[in-house]
Amino acid sequence: MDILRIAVLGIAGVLIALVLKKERGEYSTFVSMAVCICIFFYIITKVETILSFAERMETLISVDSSYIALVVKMVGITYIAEFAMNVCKDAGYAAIGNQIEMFAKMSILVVSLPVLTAFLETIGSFL
Amino acid sequence: MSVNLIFKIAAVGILVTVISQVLKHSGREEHAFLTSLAGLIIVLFWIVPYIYELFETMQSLFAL
Repeated sequence: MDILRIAVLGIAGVLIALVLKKERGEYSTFVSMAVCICIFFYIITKVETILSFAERMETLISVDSSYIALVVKMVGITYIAEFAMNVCKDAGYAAIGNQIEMFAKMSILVVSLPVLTAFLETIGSFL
Repeated sequence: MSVNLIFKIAAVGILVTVISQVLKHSGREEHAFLTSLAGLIIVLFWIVPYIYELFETMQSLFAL
């Protein structure tokens, strides 16, 4: 049911931002950021349930907990980079948005390096 | 709490637009610029704590 609330919130925010777009561009960016933050607070509850499920899964399967922490870190990096990039692109500055996206990709690659080395070591031990 | 933030920002935006139009037509360009600047700073003061709280929650939630 709260998907309806989210949809109405988004559309109302867009309409308000449109009113301000012609005269004052910066206020429409502020309004869109405010709507993003409001919707984010709803996302938080969903993410918390997923994370608690991930922790429960950890006990069931004997997966090394550091890998799940890495995955969660990557999701966090992606989400923040996505938020910042889209705000920049909405304001019309795609170049800055792409820089943020490139930085996010590089940082995710760096975060996943230990997993890669562990994987290569296990393969090396087989050969 | 955060939903009426949107309406506050919209109200400030519309108010600043109207005031600057009136000031422009009455010949005071610099006052119009100052009011739009003031409106911008007010909205910035409102929204920065929310952005800070957003990134704090992200940091604590995803253990970044």
